[in-house]
Formats: sequence, structure tokens, C-alpha cells
Amino acid sequence: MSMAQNPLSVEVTLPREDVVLLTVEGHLDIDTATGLQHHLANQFQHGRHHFLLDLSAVPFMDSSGMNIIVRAYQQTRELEGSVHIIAPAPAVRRILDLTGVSITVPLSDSVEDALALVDKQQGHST
Amino acid sequence: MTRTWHITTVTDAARARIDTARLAAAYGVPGMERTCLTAALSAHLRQCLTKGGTWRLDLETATAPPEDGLLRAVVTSGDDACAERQPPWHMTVACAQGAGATAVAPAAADPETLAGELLCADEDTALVLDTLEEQEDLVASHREELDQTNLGVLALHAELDAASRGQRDLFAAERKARTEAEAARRRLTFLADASAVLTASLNHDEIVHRFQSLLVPEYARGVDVWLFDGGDDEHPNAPRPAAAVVAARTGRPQYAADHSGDLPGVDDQPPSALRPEVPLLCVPLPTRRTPLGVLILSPPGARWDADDAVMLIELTRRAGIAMDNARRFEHNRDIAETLQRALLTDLPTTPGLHLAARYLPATHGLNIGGDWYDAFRQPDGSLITVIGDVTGHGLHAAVMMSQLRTALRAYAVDGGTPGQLLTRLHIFLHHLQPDLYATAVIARFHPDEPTLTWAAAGHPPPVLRTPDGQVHTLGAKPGAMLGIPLEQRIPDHTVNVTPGSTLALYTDGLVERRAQGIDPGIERLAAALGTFRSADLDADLDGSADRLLHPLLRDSERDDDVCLLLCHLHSRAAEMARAPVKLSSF
Repeated sequence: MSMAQNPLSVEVTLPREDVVLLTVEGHLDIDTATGLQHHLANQFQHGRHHFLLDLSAVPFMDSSGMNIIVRAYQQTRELEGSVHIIAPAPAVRRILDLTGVSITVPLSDSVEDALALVDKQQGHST
Repeated sequence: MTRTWHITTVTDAARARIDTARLAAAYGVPGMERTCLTAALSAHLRQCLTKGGTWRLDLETATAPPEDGLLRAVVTSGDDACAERQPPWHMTVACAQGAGATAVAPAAADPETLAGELLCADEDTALVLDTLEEQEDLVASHREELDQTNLGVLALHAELDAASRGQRDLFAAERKARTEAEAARRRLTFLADASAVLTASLNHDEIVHRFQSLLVPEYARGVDVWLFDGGDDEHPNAPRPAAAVVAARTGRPQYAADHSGDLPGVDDQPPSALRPEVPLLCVPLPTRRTPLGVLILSPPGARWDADDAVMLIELTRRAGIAMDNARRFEHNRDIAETLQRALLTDLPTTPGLHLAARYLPATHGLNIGGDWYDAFRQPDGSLITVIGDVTGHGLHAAVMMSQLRTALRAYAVDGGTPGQLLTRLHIFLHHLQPDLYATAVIARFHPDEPTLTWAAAGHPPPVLRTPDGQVHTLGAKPGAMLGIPLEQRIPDHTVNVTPGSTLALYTDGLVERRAQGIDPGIERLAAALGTFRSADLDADLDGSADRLLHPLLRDSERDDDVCLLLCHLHSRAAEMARAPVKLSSF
């Protein structure tokens, strides 16, 4: 098991009341993806609907990570929420572009940019 | 000083005896000695009288040392001739020191005096008797004291004995306890080592043979394993001991012998009719449900002790679990492999268009994943080739993958371009399984046209080698992943293909490396493909597929499936298409 080789750490902060920022560090793959999944599910249960994923410290992501992100997107969409990816590494960005995930899940260069997008979306709903 | 008496008659003797007693008393001879003297003197005088004749008694005392303090009585015969022949009788007693020779008148010989003296003589006797009694009491008390002392000594000895026995017992008990602890440790170590050996094997036939090598000869003389499903049984029709059957039915260990086993948790049975002189221990091999067999053991000596039997039963329990797990794993793997093989299609042959496919599952986990390749004809004669990758691993992804394969084939029957087919698959997947996604490339070869139509959805780009040796990455913007929550129409692209061209479809496991992403891998694939000559690809496409994979996988961690489909348009394709039937087979 490569769990110990490439562990994942997730730091959770709340820049706004219903916006959660998850700062992920490490490889996001079949062994570590469930860790992220738990955090997302947990936050979702606590009523957060806008997820900011800071992937600047994630050098590698495979389909497991992608699955989780797209699923989170689907869930939040039903509740007028959103998912944003922040500053993905080039290799990760390539995959997001290739699979078309970046079409649905917006990419931002910084947390502020992502928050601006959330504001814009919330502005639209009210 | 000497006093002398002449004795002829008994009366003389009596007088002499009386005088001796008085003199002795006068000289302070103690009572006992005095009585001894007079008794001895009387006895001798009686003897003399029976002999007859005259006798002379002399009582002598000396005043000067060394003979002072002594009174000496001497009796000699009056007959000189006799006196010379026989030595005189004498006796000496001690006087009190410094006792003087007070005048002691000789006793009268009248009867009154004699009678009076007779009465006095008894006084002396009484004294002697008292002394005797005293001595006897003293002896008695000494004896009693001695007895007590002896008893005490005996008691002491007994205590010492008991103490030393107690100490011996203590040593013995300690030794015994240490030996037992050693034996227990040895058994536990054996159990742990043996369990490790048994559970390390996934092959249940190996486990069976390991049992035998582990237990013989130290814990069993013979080991037989009866597996209910037959398995690798060497003697499938051999008769089984009745106790083994009971063990199988009850799930409890059984001991079959002509004596009671006294083994905890083990039921006793009569000895086996097959071999009545050998005790048998029959232990069922447990699983979560019914036992999968029975272990039949004969003891190394005459019988097992209780601790060894307990250990053997525990070992069997662990072995049962190990074998059950091994079987389940093999069973699942067999299913997985069967399913996988069923899904890997036989590639259709077309004159002039060769196909070669390779599928290498990830190295850990079940040998089954979400990658697939396919190739089939559409009704208009076009050849559809597909490469696909359902996100995720394991059985769930594999099941989804097989459904996509089938759906695609069904849609293809209706005709449609690669892009249209992918779009339909996209809708199908999103509708059916909202949380699984897939990437794919479809390439369509037209039988009579030198063009290739292709479409991609979220998948790494196909790579095309043209007969001039150039390699092109077909990277026109693909559609998004299938099943993603997005409305999309996946576009078609066309490209010319001339005879001698090779198209490579593959999954990301071939090109993705953790640190670098996929692009360096795609470049390496293109470079590798460029090293082939058309003639090689014409002659041996399968071998070429292997030679292509080899360098690309050298640095792979193999934690993802790898799939490759090569489609090669033969250099003499046109000729071959017109060639007689010998090449075509459906």
C-alpha cells in the first residue's frame, strides 16, 4: 500500500460562513482520495455548499480524485452551490483540461479569485 | 595396727564378722563399703567353715602413706601347708581420712550380743537397699532424661528431614514449573511460527503439504487431511475413520482410541475399526460456515498430553481460517479472471487491416479494472475500434465498463459516427450511473476510403504513424469525459491514412507518470512508435505491440491498468483487399 508513501493532508478553513476552503497537500490518488471525500461529505453535512479546493500543493491527481471533485460538483449544483479549483499544478491542470472537468468546475489562480466567483454566483441567485 | 581372730566355729566367724563391722565403722569406712566388706567376709568365712580347719582373719590398717586410709582384711588358712598352697583371701576398703584407732573392744560371744548384732546387720542391709533404691531411681530418671533427649533428637532429625524434603520439593516444583513454562513457550512459539507458515500460503494445496511437514514427527506420527470438496486429495475414495465423520458432523474434535483421551474440548470415541491399535485425533477445519475438512492425526508416542492437543486444535482452527480465506481469494480471482477474459474480445480480422491488443491490469488488487478495448464492424462494413477507461478500480468499474461496451455495440448497430456514438454513451452513462465517469476514443476505418474518422472524450490523444516514419499526435480538442454533468456534443475529426500507417489507441496507464503528468509519456510513445519500420509492423504486429510496451513500462509503478490497441493498415492493403478469400475469416 502506498498510503504511507504519499500521504494526503487536508486543512479546512471557513473564509465565509457557507464557504469552505480545503487546502490539500500531497498525492490525490486511489489510496488517499477517500480522505478528501470524508472532509467534503462532512462539510456538506454541516451545510456548506460552496467548496474551494486549493490544489497548489497537489503534484499528482488520478481518476479517483477527479471522481470526487465531479461528484462534489454534482451534489452542490443541486443546492445552488459550487466547486472551485484553485491553482492546480500543470500536470493536474492538463488532466482537468483533457477530461473537460475544467469546463464544469471553474479553475482560479487564487482564493480571492475563487471567492469573487462565488460572490458573483450568489449575487445572481438573490 | 593389726587385729587378729582365729576362726574354727560358726560362732567364731560370727564374732569376727561383728568385730570387723564395728572396726570398719570406727575407722569411718562408709556404709556401702562396710557392707560389701562384711558380706564378702561372711561369704568367705562360710566357705572356710565348710572346708573345716582353723582359719585366721587379720585386719590391718597402716598409719603411713601410701597405705594410710585403707583397711585390709586378710583370711589365711590355719594349716600352714594349705596356706602355702593357696593364696590368702583379702579385701581392702578405704577409711575416712585421719580416722583414729579408737579402742574397739572385741565383741563378746554370748548369744544376746550375737542376736543384737544380727539385728544391727539388717540395718546395714537396709542402708544398702536404700542406696540401691536411690541408684535405681537415679538410673530411672537418667533413662527417662535420655529417652526425652532421644525423642528430642529424633524430633530434630525429623524436622531437618522435613525441611530438606520441603526444600527438595520446592526445587522440584520450581524445576517443574520452569519446564512447563518452557514447554508452553515452545508450543506458543511453534503455534505462531506454524500459523505464519500456514497463513503465508494462498494456495490451499500448499497449506495441506505444509501441515504435514510442520507436525511430523514432533507433534504427530501421521497426518492426513480429508477435504470435503475432493480438491487435491491423493486418495479420494479411501475409507475414513468413523471419528472423522463424527468430527465433520458435529464440528467438534474427536479422539478415537481404546482409552479415554482426557483431552479438553475433545469427545472420546471407540478406536477406529481400520486401525484399532493407533489412537486418532480428528479435528475439523473450521470456516465461517461448515467445516471444509477434517485433520486426522496419530500421536508421536503412545498419546498426546493435554497441552499439545490444545495447541494442535488451535493450529487447526487457524489453518481452517487460512484455507477458507485462500479459497475465497482464489474463487474471487477466478471469477475476476473469467470475467476479464470474457470481456477481452477476439479481434475481427480484415484483409489488409491488422489489429493487436494488449491488456495489463494493475499489479495490486484483483486482476480486473475499468480499462477496455474493442473492435467490431458496423453494418456498412466500417470497422469501429475503441479504447476506453472507466474511472475507478475493481469490480464496480469493471461491471460499468462491460455495460458501456455493450451499449456502444448496440448503438453502433444503428450507424453513427464516432462522435455521435460517444455522445450517446455520454448521455447513457450520466443517466445510468451519475457518479461514475469514463474516457474513450473511437476510431472508425472505412473499407474503401483512405480516411480515418475519430472522436475522443476526456481521453489521451491517439497517435498515428504514417508510412514515412513520422508520428502525429491526434490532439484536436477532445470532448469532455463521459458522464460528467454537462451537455455536450462530441466532435468528429478525420485524417488520411495511407497503407503502411499505424494507429495507436491506449489508456493513461501507459503514459502517465506521477511526477510528470501525461505529456512526456505521450512523447515517448510517439518516439517509440517512430522507431518501427512498416515492414516490421506488416510482418508481426503482435510482436511489435510487445516491443512497443516494453520500454514504456520499464519505469512504471504499475498502479494503474495499461491497455494498448494497435491498428495497422498493411502496406499492400489494396492488393490484400482484392485477394481471394483465403485471408478473410469471420
